[in-house]
Amino acid sequence: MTFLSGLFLFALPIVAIPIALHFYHRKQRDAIPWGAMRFLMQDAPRGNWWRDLERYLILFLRCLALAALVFALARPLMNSNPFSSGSANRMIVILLDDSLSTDFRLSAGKTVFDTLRTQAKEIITRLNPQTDLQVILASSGGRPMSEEPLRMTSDNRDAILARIDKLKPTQGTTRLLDSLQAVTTMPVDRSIHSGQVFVLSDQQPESWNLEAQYRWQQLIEATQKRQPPLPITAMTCPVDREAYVNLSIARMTSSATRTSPTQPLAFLAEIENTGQLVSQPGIAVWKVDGIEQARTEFEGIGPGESRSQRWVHQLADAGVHVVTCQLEADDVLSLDNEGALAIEIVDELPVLIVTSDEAELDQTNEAAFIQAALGTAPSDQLASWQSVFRPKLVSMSELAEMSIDPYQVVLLLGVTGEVSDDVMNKLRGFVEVGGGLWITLGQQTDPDLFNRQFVAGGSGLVPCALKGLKDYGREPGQTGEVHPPDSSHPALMLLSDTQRLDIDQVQIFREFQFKPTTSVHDYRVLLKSGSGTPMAIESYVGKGRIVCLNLPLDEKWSTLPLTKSFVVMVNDWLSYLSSPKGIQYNVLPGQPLICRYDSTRPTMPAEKGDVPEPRSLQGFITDPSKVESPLSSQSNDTLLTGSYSLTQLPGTYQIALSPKVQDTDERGVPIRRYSYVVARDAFESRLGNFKGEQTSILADLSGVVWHDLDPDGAPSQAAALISSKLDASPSDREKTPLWTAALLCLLMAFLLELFLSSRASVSRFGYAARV
Amino acid sequence: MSQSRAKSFLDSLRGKLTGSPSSVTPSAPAPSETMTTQDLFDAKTLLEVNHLELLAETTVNGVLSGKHRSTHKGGCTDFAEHRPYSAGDDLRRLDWKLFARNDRYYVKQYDDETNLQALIVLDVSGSMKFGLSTVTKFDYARLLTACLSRLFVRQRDSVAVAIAGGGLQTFLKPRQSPGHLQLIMETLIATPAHGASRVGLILNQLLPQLKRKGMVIIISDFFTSLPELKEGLTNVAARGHDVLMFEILAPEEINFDFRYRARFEDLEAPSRWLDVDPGAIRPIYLERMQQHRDKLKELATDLGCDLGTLTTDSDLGDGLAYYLRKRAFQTKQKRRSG
Repeated sequence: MTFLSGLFLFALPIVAIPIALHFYHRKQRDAIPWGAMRFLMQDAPRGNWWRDLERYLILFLRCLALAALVFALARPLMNSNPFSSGSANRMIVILLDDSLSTDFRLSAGKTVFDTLRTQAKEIITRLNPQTDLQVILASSGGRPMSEEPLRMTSDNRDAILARIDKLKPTQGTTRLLDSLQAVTTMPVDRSIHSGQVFVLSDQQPESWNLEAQYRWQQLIEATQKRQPPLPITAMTCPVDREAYVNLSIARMTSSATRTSPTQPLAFLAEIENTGQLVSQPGIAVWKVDGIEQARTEFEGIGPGESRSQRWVHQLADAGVHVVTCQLEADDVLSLDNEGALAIEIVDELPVLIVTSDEAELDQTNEAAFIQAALGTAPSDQLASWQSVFRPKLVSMSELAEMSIDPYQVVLLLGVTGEVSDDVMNKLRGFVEVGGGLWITLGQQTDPDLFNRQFVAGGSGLVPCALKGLKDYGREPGQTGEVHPPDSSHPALMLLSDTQRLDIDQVQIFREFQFKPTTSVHDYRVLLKSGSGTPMAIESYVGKGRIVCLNLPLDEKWSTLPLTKSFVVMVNDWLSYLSSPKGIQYNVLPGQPLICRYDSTRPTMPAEKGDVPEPRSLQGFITDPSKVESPLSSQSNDTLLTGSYSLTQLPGTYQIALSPKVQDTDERGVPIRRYSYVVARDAFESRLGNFKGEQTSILADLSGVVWHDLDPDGAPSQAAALISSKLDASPSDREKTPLWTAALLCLLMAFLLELFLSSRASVSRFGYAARV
Repeated sequence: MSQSRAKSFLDSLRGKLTGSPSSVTPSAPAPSETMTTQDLFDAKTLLEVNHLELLAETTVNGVLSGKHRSTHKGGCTDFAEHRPYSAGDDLRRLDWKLFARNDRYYVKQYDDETNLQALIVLDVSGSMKFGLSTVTKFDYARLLTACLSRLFVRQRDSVAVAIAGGGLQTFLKPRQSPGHLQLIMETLIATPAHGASRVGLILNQLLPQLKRKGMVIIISDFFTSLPELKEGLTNVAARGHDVLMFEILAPEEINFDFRYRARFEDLEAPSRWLDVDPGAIRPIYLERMQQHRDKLKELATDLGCDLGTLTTDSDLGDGLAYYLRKRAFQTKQKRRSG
């Protein structure tokens, strides 16, 4: 206890005044000559013991009132609130890093996470019962272990320790700065008057983001200004190996993520060595839905180098499959040795090929080339391979009459530019909900009409207007050529491989030319000619994508249909254009998982053929940590649409649809399973400790207490720091002022003394003197 | 006693009479030892009662002259003085010679004409010495005795004074001369207060002295045996005397508002004392006191005595005037009814 005006305590001896007066009056016993002695000389009155008690009680109250007055004037502060026996007075937040990098295997055999977990338990063990504890797992945006802070009763303490024991590192990414900012804005109960944040993490620079010094300063100021303050103590566990090998799968791709059962898929796993030593040769194990399918060997990889592993496989069953590549290698971080990719196998995807009403031979040839590229030409009936895309050929007039919603992509071949408004609105609506539109120009295209209908001054479906036709001729050396495309675009990834494909060998005889535009519409050039003029422009309307190619897909304008690249281009572009309308099974952290099931038009067969179609469905989702939770969904008799947005944690998610509870016979029997893969950040595999510049930044962050944990040391080594933080004397702002209570005590003592004195006075002298 | 000393005494007396009784502190010794004859003639008190006439309730023996009618005819013929005629005077006593000289009616008065015989019994027991915030009851009673004596003498009534302590200490036979008044004053001054009160017994002793019907005035605090008092009063009243009882009390005795524990020493028996917490005993004391006073009042009523209470903190003149007015009113009522 401290006093703001302690000098007033020197006045405490005045408490003795009532006592002194009491004894003085007892000693000063007057002698009174009395005449009416006959009225006093009779029986002694009874009840003296009560009067004595009353007298001493009044004396005590007078002393108490004086003491309370002196106490209140001295303005005492108490370190803890004595009136809060039922409420907590301290808030402790433990930010425990369980990101992928904490799975680093230390030289002693245990992981960094083991060290962090031990320290977390050490802190929790030392908390007193009047503490509220919130443990937040720092990876993937921060995940509190309980909805509300837990009071440290013995039961809660045992429960939280047991849960911490079961924790394992995840594939998640930690952004400690963001997590700490969220912690500092966390509301706390009004009874809380002190707090402390413990950050338990490794020293991975990307997690700490120490370069953002301004944000760190803002964070520290915020923790100091908030009420109560939440000072930060960072306890970091450095990696204790000078050099090591860490193989990780930095990226995993496939030739397609949605394809037919007949199409072989090429999977590519990029293996990276983020360590300092050359790795030994290893084996990559390829699995489909957890079942091993193949093993491929790879050579040793040097420090900082990467190598791709390729595996070709054909998935025969319709549905969503998770293909994983797992490295069997002896390295320090095992969690990043696995990469996963979700592949959707569908029987077919309908596409619509639209020719003009006066379709001439050119367009017929153009459609035939596309059908041939998809393996669906009449002459290919017996072909062993067919694309997943099933084209349907219609004319423009038929397009006006039909519904195009069931189709994934619409190809407008050799548009003339003369398109009715109804068709334009239909196409716009189709694209806005995710459909793909591929437009090719041709002999019959009227640039003016095209610009008026499709460009519409920048508000149409195509962002760039046509400025005319360029004719190169067929003479060798005069023809145009195609610039090798950029491999970063998903639709051009294979096409850009000029080693195996021949896009750069294409000869262009004629082409339309686009005018440069200043349109605000977002667009991108997919293909450029050798002279740099755009050949294919990609634009976006709503959720869908539109590609406009400046030449027809026949042999009269270019040799493109005659090259090997044509088949790849048609399939990849259709796949790219159709993907927005499909469901994304490979997503980034935070991106919602969508599940859509139409019982009237199932996209895949049921797992069990004998299970009847349920009247209503409910969904459950299982996250990478194997925690199952219900899926928020909307459903009617035929359609169920569900979504799940808590996808910060990388890994494989699985949604299972099962009949609702009222269908008791069918409860628990899943009829559909959908797998999703949330990608992880590759930087979590890049390990390390704080280095020169980062160390100096740490020294500048005076608002944070830094402490390096010794992985080999006992947990008690950090006990001194923990104790100093938990037992720290609170500042005056955190202390509880007691003068209000003292004044209240004074008032109560005064009132009680007044009451007892009045009572005693009335008892002795009556309400008025009798005459 | 010089005039200045008398004045200072009166000032202190008035100050005490008008002081607050609540601030009770042990007072200085009563001034009775230093009191002189002049001190007893309280000018203000006499002024207050000067115009009042003391009316006897019953007709007493003696020759009535003026308002005091006597059953006794004849009497002494020693001329004393003239006084203006007033309605009811005997026309035979008119001085016709004087009427012839100045055309006004005067009545001759003789020494034997004042024939009311009053006996003042003054209680000088030890309890009368009490006085804390005011003068002592004894001083107050002496002052009252002196005032009444002077009043009687002024009206040509004879007054006797009996000093009653543990026994009859002094008895001054009834006289009406100024010299007798001086003797009464000197006796009052010289008399100390001590011993127990035996007023009832002394009344019985005085019976032989009360040959003529008259007025018996008892001035006491009546802290005495009530049966004994009753016996004495009964005997007195049975002889046809008009009995007037002045109960003199101090305010502390009525209220008993002492705050702190104190040692109470008995004034009637100095060796007896009691250590008392006044607050604790106050209710019982007040109850006993009230019971005593109620019995006294009942006794007086039964015997047809007139009982008046004077407290030492009240002005003696005011109290005496109030009481005489009340008594005059009662006398008129009795006459009308009887």
